[in-house]
Amino acid sequence: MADALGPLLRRRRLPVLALADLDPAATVAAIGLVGASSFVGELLPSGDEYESAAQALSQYGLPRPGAVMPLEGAGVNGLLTAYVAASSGLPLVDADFMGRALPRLEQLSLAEGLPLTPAAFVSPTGEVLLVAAATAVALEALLRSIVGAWGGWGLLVLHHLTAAAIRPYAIVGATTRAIGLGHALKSLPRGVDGVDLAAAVGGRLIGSGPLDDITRRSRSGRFGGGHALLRDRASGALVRIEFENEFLLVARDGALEAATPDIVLVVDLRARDLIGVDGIRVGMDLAVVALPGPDWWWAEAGRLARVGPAAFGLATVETPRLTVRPAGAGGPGTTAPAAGPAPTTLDQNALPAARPWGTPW
Amino acid sequence: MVRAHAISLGQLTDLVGPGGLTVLAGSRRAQVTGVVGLSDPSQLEDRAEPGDLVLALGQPPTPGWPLDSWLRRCRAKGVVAIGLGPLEAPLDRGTLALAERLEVALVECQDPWSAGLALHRALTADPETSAGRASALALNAVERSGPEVHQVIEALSGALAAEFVLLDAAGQQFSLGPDVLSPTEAEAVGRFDAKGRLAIVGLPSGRELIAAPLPHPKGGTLWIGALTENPTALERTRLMTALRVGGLGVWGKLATQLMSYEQSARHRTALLGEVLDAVSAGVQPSRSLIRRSLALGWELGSWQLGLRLILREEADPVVRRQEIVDACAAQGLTVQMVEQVDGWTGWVSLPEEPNAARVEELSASLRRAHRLWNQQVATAIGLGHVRAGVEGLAASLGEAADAARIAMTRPQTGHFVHVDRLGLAQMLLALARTDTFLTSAKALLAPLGPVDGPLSATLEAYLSSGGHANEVAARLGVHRNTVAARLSRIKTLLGVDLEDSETRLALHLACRAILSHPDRPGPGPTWPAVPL
Repeated sequence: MADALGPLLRRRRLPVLALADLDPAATVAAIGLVGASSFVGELLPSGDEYESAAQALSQYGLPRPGAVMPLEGAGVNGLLTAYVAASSGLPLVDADFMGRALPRLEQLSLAEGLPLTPAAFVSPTGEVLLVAAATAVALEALLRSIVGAWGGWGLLVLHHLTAAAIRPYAIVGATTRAIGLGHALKSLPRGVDGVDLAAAVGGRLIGSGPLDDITRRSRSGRFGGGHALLRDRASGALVRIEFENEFLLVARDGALEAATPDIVLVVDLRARDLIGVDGIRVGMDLAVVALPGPDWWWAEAGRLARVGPAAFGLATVETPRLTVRPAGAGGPGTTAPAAGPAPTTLDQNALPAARPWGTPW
Repeated sequence: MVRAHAISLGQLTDLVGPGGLTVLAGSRRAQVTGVVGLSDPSQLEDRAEPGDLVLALGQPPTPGWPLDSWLRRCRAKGVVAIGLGPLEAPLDRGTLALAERLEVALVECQDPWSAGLALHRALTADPETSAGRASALALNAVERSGPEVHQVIEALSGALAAEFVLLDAAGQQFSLGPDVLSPTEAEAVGRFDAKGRLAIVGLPSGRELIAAPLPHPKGGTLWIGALTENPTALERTRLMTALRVGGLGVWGKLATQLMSYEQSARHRTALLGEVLDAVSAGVQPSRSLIRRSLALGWELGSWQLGLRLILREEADPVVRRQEIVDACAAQGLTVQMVEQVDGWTGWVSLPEEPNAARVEELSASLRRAHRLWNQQVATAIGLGHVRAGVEGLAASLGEAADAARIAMTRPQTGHFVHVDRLGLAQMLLALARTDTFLTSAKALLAPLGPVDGPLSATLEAYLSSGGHANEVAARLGVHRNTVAARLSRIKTLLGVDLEDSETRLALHLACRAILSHPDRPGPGPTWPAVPL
């Protein structure tokens, strides 16, 4: 994806707007990938997906969007949205609806108060599905049921949201935060250890050392999940990472250290690169770092219930201590204005050169 | 709850029985001081106490991360073990490794309720009540047992459901009855610490011996022990109490037994003395004497084979008499044994005059019996001729005494000598080999120089050959004139007349006695050992 985005950004400058700077009446195209991001490398995007979706949605008579915003700001989603923005000449909004990687559509902050429909879903092979009305749960179920048959991934596009409507749900600063983390990782020296890495990304080191064991399980009606076991080199502590298709919870010697919606980063220390659930292998030298998740999710108990450990079947007898965060590292949120001058444009230098997330494409 | 004692997970495994309980992670040695069952994991903080084994009943924590988290909380609470019901799938490696790391054992119980009850019973038993009960049981066993020490030991074993044993200071079984310790166990026990007040010995078989010292009424120390498997602290306390009470009982039996032994010993010794006195005075034993002898089972009128046993180690003839009698009984022999200062005088009575084969058979049986008791108490034994009546008994006992004295110096015959098999000359020689005679013999031959010198050898050869100088020369490998010269020197040095038969006899005995004496340097006697 970065390979496609890089040359494009060399030709065009991509304006990045804070949500507050957007005309409240302007509509925003919310874009996200549904399916497995690893399939993007196998079945490459044609580049026309967004246009197909926009065309399909046009029959609802919605105004043409004034900006593009990712459903999830990081990873392939972030790059895909940036590509759509750059190729369609629309500015990119520095916000998203998750603030961390979450697997399901009903886990979008948006789903709390706004409908996700009408929505268009486009496969890389050109199939288009237009959904006039569905709840978030129903839409999730529908798309999951067809995405496998349609190539493993597809683009979901929403055109009905205005800047004013999404303001209570937007997790602002998501794009710039992702870019900041990318820079921090890119600047790490060879042979970096877990402590320096955690300091560089502004997170808390839970443990670093060789990965001892991975247990993957398949569960009916859910994504396959599992857990990985890492032995902290410095203390000998046992670090347990529970995952679904994102890293969800990390415990050290049985004590909960961080759990979703806080962010669990797993970094391959040798490659100085983030690694996803699919990429971890026994014997890898990893660092596990916790970053504060977006405040938005803690603002109400009901929100935590949607994205907390319990939502992933990780209910614990312990009350999750999810707000443990490093001093001074307040997460981005709807109420906190972006500190310092917000970046207004995104150029190719702001992007990692290639394969920024360790995804094989 | 009073946390008076602890039980290890290993002991709990034994209590619950085979297959009932499996330690999945953590040490079997973990000491549990309490048990609590939780129907919900959230009850942990309110109900568990440090040292507890927590049984997850009802809704156990889900295996995986929730169980990890619970392990951590158990650790914080000081819980030493978690008991889970039968598992549907093995616990994951992370959980097992965490249990090891946090030192909270994970135990799978096939039946958590009964495991909990077994543990509860073991832990809540009151030590004082248990000790009191043990002492009552031990007391009862001692009171109801028979008069013999081994009967007390058996009664204690039965009453306290543990094998009791009486051992000597070297750790060898002292009490009669079947061997309680296997040979390897007996070896492992070894010698007890003479100053110790209690010994707890782990045996290679996995059993444990708990032993307490017991002063023997005649001096020395015995140890009374109990064998048990994988005991809890409570079980140890129980057995120690029983050992103390049982020990007193054993001591009482030993003392009573000894007293009665000594009384009968004095009686036997005095009676035999009277009988022999009568014989030597040439008078028939009185009717009263015969009646009293019969009361002891002595048949003085029949044929008698006299025995004399001399102790080759420090031992009390009164105490050890029964072992000899038992060893003979094991060979089908009924012997009368009368204690002497240094051993025993005894005899076997025969209803009719035995033929040579029967005597041979008797001798062989006695030899076997001797070999048996010799392992317990080292003795030399002499057998007299079979003779008739009271006079015969006195004579046979005299012969037996002579034979026993010879047997003392005859390790090659197993310290067993039957006078029937002894030549007269050998008897004489053996008899001459007394300390008094040896001293005189040495003094007599001293002028001839060293015992293994040429003059002594020449004199001995001359007397042995019956006065033939030529034979002496041939035996010693010297010239005849040398022999003549040496003989004349011997006569001068000793100032004796070698033609005098009494002088020759005295000198010959002196030569033989010295040359065959064990103190003599150089090779042993030049004549062959007496065949027996």
